[in-house]
Amino acid sequence: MWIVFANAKKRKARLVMTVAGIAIGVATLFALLASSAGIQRGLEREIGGLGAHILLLPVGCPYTLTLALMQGTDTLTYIPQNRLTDVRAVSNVRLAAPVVVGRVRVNDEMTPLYGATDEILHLKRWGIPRLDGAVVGSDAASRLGLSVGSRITLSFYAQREMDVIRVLPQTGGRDDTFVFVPLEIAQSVLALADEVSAVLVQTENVDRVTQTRQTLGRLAHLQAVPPSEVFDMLVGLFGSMASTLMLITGVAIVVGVLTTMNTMTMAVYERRTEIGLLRAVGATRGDVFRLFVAESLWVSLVAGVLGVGVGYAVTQLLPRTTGFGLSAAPHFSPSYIGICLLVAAGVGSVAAVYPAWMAARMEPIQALRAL
Amino acid sequence: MEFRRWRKIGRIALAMLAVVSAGFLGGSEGGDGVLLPDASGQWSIPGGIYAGRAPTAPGMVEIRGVRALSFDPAHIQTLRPDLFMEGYFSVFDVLVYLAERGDIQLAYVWDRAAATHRILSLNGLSGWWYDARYAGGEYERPVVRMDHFPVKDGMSIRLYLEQPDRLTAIHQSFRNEVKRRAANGGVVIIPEVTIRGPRWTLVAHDVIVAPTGTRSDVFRPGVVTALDVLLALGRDGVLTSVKLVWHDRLEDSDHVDSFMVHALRGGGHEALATDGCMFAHQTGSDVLEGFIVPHGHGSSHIHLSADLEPLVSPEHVRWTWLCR
Repeated sequence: MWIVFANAKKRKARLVMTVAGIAIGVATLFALLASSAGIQRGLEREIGGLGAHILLLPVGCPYTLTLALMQGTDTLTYIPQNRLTDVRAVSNVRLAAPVVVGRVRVNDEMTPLYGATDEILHLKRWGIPRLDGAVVGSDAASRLGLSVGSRITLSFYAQREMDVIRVLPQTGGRDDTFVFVPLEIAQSVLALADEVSAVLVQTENVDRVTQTRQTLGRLAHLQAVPPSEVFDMLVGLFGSMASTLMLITGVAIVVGVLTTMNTMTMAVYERRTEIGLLRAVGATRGDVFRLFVAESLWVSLVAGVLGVGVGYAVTQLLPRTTGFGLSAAPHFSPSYIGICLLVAAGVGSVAAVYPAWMAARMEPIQALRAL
Repeated sequence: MEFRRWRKIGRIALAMLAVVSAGFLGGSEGGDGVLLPDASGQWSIPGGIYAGRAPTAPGMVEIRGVRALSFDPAHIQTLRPDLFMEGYFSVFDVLVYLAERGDIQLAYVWDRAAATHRILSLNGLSGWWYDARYAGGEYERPVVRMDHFPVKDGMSIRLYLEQPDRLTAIHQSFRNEVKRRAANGGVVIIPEVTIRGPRWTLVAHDVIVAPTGTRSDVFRPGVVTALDVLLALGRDGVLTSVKLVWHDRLEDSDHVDSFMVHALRGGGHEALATDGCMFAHQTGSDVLEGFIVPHGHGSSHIHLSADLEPLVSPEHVRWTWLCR
């Protein structure tokens, strides 16, 4: 091992460049793994947070409408509220919670508003018996300086006042940004007479969701969408982007392999005398092979550790939200460090095979001729 | 002189032939169309041959938080006689008419910097924007000046309070257009025009657009429309041919009364009309990207046909090959 370290010390500049080459690939891989997992978990949390087995949306693009619902954007298309009677009459529908979303002024600050009936309390665990005041997400509360008992003024098309009855703990999702109020208050402020943005449906029997969805989808003025379908579409959208990035990462890693291979091959030529001497004093071909593989592995692992560190730093610079405004905070797992170090070790091993084989094949007399 | 006169007569005769052919081949749903450049190499359609139907039927405007109000086109005069021909008017003109009739309280101003009329308040509230759809279409959250959007029979109009950040971005994009046009000495120069074909993309920069008067039935001479952008690409040699088809109606949509782009060739690429495919356009500005707008687009919308969208000087115009 001392030969390995001594050689690294002798050729510092080359060592730094080789390490940097591999580290870039590993850093890209680490950042990609962490941010992809972050986006997926963010979507899972948001869509799972809706708490519904089926989403009833107005007619239109279901994906934009779901995103708007999660973001609190007014869709400008609605479901007539009288459809609720038909929805509740469908077999297997256990709960149909109408909701209204839109951005309004809360104490003069534009804030996403979420209007719901008490049925929402079956879908969201807020620990209150009735939604008879404003429930405020943690971010909204800190931005607006609200606490339980604060008086808020909601205004847009109309003005209403009410008390804050609960401030929710941080969830890391979009719920943190909302102010939740009773449905009729939201309808009044948003000038929606007998219309709702969506209906969240829970079923009695989850195995019959598909049939229930089909029945609900046949009702006029609405469409029934399973949240899982929206999730799959959005994950697919991000997935195709991640595939492109993974390809770029792959190229970076291949470049790392070639750089290391080139460095090691040059090292073999430069160290012919050293190899000759080693062989002359009794080192076997296997010893020489192992020496070069160990050297390459050592360099790669150093680069791997450095790459993980750089990758972590890069993820801290990435935006915390997707283009759709959804949470995309990177997610870190020890397994990503393991994967990255394994990839680095793989790069080192693959890159070392040919130069190490060349070195091992070198005849001692041939190597000593360089003296 | 004699040659020019015969050439002009020839061009008119060719255009007339195209109209007659369109009639024979089912012109109401889109017939044979007009192939450009014409026999004399011109990238324009003589005005006055194709004409739409001016609005005559009573229409409705839904003002959120107020109510739905009806209007009769016979009583509406345009505030933009510099844009519209007699008998035609815009969404904004309808509002002014409703205010004059006493149905709403409207305060508005001519915003010189944005080259449009802007609502200051409606029934005491500010921040209004509109959403419109022609018969058979969907609401699309347009980013077209309210006093540019032509009214047709069977059209639906809604007014709502827009999110302040989006409304600011819309007005900012209008101001940018005016500045761009002024900086170009009054000439419409589009920084980027993109044509997304079936499997290819063509991009042209700094396209100088001149009015062709294709819709001289609706607009005054000198008004530049989004369709003129495509014709400018032909004049510049970026496109080698374009096929426009006049549609009185399109499936359930009636009145359409517009040219649709059914085929084009250029840059070694082509997009030929197949069942249910044609080009749709968008105009707009980068400041409008990033808003989630259900049923809408970051820029203008696509159901307002290109020959009916007057331009000031947008940052980009995009044509996309769409299939049902």
